[in-house]
Amino acid sequence: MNNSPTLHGSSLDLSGWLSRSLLVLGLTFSASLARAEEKIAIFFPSVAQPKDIQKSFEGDPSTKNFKVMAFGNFEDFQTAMTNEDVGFVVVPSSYTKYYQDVTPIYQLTSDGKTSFRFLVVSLAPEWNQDKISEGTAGVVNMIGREKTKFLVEELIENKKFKRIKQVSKISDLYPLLALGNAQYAIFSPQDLEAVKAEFTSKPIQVVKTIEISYPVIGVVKSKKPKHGEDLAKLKAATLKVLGMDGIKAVAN
Amino acid sequence: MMRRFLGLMVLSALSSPAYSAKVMLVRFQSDDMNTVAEVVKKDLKGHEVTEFIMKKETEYAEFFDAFKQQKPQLLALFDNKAVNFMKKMQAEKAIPEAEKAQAAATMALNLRYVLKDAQNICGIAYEVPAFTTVTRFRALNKKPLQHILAPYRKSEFEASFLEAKQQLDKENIKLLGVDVEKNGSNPEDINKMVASVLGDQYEGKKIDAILIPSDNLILNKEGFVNVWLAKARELKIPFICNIDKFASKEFDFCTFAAYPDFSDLGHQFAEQIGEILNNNTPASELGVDYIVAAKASLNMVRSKALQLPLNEEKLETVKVIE
Repeated sequence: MNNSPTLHGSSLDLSGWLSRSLLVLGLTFSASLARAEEKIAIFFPSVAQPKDIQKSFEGDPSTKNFKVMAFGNFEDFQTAMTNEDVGFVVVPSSYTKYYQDVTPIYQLTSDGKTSFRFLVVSLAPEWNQDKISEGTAGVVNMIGREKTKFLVEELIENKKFKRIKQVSKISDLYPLLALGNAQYAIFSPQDLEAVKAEFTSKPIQVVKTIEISYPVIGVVKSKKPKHGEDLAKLKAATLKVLGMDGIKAVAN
Repeated sequence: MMRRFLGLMVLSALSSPAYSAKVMLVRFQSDDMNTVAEVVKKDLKGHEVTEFIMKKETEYAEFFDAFKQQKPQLLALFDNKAVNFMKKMQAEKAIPEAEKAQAAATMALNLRYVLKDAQNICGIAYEVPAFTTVTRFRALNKKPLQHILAPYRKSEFEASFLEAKQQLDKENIKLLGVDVEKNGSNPEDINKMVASVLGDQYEGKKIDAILIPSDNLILNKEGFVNVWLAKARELKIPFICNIDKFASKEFDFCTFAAYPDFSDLGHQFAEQIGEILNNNTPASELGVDYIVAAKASLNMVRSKALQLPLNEEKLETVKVIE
């Protein structure tokens, strides 16, 4: 088939060639646009709604080269990691320990601090430190259900819960405790404050875990994404939605 | 670096089940059961999961044949029909495997009551508990909730009512229970009792909301139309429940409904099954847990008619029906 326009050919031939050429140009242009936009996937279990997190990050000039995706539970996040071409993540710090393809490049901070301790709470005084080995602890699935179980064991030194029960969202953790499905629950201090405001019954602090780093921004090594240096300029106002207010480079 | 790598190798080996067990799901084919079953199958990767799909006319013999053929170590039972099949099989003890088999159940009505004398069956209750329905509704409201009227049948639901009352007491919310079988248990007596108590006051206390029981003996055909629906439209009090369709435009009955999140129910169910298979915890030790994750609907038409002062920022956590 002759695809060249002809002087004396019918106008139909000419418009057909022009249409095909424009189509090829258009496809090339949109493909190059897609390559220019990196994807950043955010999962950090907190009381903040995913759409508020997404809106906050999208509104930051540092993310102009990014498509921002925020997730409310680990399963949806991990589906995106499998199916989307994600180059960067904002995740709990322990994620990068258990998923080898993600390396932390920036550490989020709060009030200058890079780490915190989770709080183990109960609703009844008899469920104290001494009875931890007899009790069930509730926790949010933060890095996959199997790996979260290992994480809990690492967090509580010298003690082990009888059983771990996981929920997908922070908003389900207090009901798990109040309904009696678990005797203990593990919260970050800021989530506990938010949850205490929603319920009248007051949780009793049982024990603090070991120190754990605040969330990190990680790079998915296999994707070799660009524009990572832009993320160092994320504003404090943007990070506030995650309960953070600063960012620093991770020393590798 | 090497030590860290080896440590992670060990951790990843430990994360696979020590052995692969056979799990037989016994269920109907429905959208909600499909959702739960798909999540269970995914979460129980590493174990062999098969399915026995029931129909309305499925007889016990078919179930027992499937069990004999597949010889599962554990059965995952969906619906009261599957639970009844399991209980019959355990009672008959026709083969040694039947006696040893363990089960976990969900999506069955009043599971705690149904399993109270059962052996080796644990479960996740299907009904969103009163604690969740009431506290989720409270979160939407600027007006405080103090007294919730809760008609129920003491003969079957006393234990769950008392637990709900205790849970809500800790939230400074009083659940005022009314035994609708007080004057008789036939539908006519129940309907008369319900009609006499549904109001904006009960025993001198102002009622802030009425909690609908998920009980088809109380919500019988005659009572539902002539008492419940009529009262919901007459009284200036929100009716709240754990059945999604009751807050729909079509039913126009409840102002608020909290109902199961089926995907999360799948995770909760798989976790319980995993506890039995991976940690060798007997089903008899696990009991029946409350369902934890719930979705919610707010009938905005009812809400506006009642002039409910709503927390606007909480509206994004519910499905708003207008």
